[in-house]
Amino acid sequence: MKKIKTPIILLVLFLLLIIAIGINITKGSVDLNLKDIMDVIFNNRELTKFESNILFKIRIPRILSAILFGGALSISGFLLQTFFKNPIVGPFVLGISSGAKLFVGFFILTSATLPFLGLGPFRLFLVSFIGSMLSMLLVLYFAKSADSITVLIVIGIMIGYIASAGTNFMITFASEKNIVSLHNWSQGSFSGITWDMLELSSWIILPTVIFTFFLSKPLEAYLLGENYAKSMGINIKLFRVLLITLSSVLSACVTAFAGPISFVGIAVPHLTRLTTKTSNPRVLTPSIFLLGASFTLIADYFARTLFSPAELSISTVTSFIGAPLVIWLMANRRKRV
Amino acid sequence: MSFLKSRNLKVGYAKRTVVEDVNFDLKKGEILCLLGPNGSGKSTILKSITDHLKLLGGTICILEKELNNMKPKERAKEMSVVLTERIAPEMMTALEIVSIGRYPHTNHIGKLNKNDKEIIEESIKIVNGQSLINKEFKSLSDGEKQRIMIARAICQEADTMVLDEPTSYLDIRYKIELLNILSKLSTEKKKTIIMSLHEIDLVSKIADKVLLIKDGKIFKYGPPEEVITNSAIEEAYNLGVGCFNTTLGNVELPKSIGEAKVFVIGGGERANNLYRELNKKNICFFSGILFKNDIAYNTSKSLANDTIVEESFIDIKLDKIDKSKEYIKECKYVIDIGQSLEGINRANIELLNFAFENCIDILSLRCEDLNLNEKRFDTISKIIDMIKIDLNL
Repeated sequence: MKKIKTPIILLVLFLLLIIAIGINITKGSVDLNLKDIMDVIFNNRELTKFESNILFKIRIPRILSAILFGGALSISGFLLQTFFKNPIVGPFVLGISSGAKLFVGFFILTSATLPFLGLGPFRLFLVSFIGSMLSMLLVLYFAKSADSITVLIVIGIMIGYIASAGTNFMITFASEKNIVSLHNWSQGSFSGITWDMLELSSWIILPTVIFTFFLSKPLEAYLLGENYAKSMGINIKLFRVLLITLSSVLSACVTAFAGPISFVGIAVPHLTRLTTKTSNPRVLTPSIFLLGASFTLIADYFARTLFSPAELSISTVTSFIGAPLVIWLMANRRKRV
Repeated sequence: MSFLKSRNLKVGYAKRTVVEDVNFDLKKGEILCLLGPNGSGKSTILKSITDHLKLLGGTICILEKELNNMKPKERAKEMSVVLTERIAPEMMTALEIVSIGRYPHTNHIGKLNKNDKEIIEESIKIVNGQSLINKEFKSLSDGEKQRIMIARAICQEADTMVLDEPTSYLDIRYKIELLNILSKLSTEKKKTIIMSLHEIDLVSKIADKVLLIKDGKIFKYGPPEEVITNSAIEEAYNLGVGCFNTTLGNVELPKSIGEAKVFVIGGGERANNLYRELNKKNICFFSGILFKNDIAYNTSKSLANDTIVEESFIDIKLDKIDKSKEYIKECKYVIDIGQSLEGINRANIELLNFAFENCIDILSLRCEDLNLNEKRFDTISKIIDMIKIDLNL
């Protein structure tokens, strides 16, 4: 098997990200000229009020959130795939997103408030986080008695169904206004992300991703299975908890701010492994983050522009690109070995 | 001085003890083999030694230091494992798999320094894996994978290696190659090795100590020449049918039961094959007169209704000849294997003459004619075909 050199992988992925950013900055309902923007950076040209509004109020927060959330979802999926040793798990498959939706739904639909939750973006994050963690813990509880990964995945899917049923149950009795706002949330979108939200989510996502990178060594040993990992001195119980917590923190954070976004978590780690031809977490973690960011940026570009002025939900686009991609990759897997 | 010592190990699961009172003492560089029927608890003992199962009781010590009181990382420096489970990591080369073995020795991010790389290279050399390092692990054959997993265990640099059925899935060539590697590791690198094996015949060739397990107990423990005896193996494995010969490491299927129709004269390799062919087709037979050192002796003992035997290197005594004549009279055919009829084998020509006088069909594999009205054949299968048709089988 021919290995690609690490710096080349990272350079190519970084360039891809720059291109994706470039497209997203210039294209939209109002097209900006890339040269004009470059002038601002390199030739000290003053931005017009109009340009400044578009860039700083809409496009840049949106680009940053796509980078942050796309990367986070991909890393989250990567951690779950490592944990379950299965390439098709992601936060969606295992009911994590549905759990988050159930909890967010409860607060949006019933307009319930809890005094200690406070207000603002942090409240939604906390609720969504608790929902994700609870459904993950439930899956893990059954993981002890499930004798195969397949059983575990089915359990995850079932828990997802139960959570969705719970959400639907509440929808039956909710007011129309609340249903609409839940629906909007659950479509997943990067519009309406504010600088405040971005700041909060970067405080959560960036340290988590960096921490994940520093777990590269045990993550690599874990690829040989838990029994080998244990024989090399890894504290398996602690490591399992770490994997699940990190993964849930990431997907909960994204789900809280941008709604459940499907397929990024499944498709990107897979796509990265196959294109970079490596399983080494030291290369894979940054690569997955970069590719996840580019993938989401491009998906968001299509979501915004394809039927402009109407905007597609981000999940619609990621599923349309992601699902066939996964099918194609799986179907062709044997041929490439 | 003993290096690795277990005292009264009790292994199994929370509600079910599988094996009790497991005691062994190993010097540095010794190989211990666990032997026993399927389900006897070999794997359970190994898993408990490697701490993949909690010990229910007893202690394991390396140089008087109890293993289970060590921190995971310290323990990993004392003991490495090769498990039965087959791993299939995506997109990893054999070299990457081996390198992971350095885990307990590298820094927090797992960077391999020059020393690590040298050890990895040496480990790969020991298993003759140089040509495999850049191949994808998943694409390797079972034998190659197993060698890579052993290289991984070697570069963990632990003095003790535990292997659970390392030879399963492997064909005979790889089995020999693998056991040769392990044997070298024990003698040259002074690795203490504990493993379970299925092949009784191979155990005596590699082990310094053997634990024979039966029904949740250590049935026998000691050096292979004391543990692996015909009776011990037959009892431990409950061999009501068939037979295992520990001297030759040879297995025979159960012998067919019935009245003997054939007397086979002569021994040697060809006789061995003939006995087995007859037995396969359910044709019962007597054989004689064999010397105890004939290579057909053990097979005949396992398969013939009776075998007429004489001590090695002496003239055949009269009572043996008379007994053979009695048997020949009961039979429909005498098969002449074609061994020499001279020297101490003279008695066999007497038997052939006797058969001729009593009008018993002589089927001969001999190249030359003896003028005893015998039917001559050039292969065993032709004889078998003829008998089958004749007896309506």
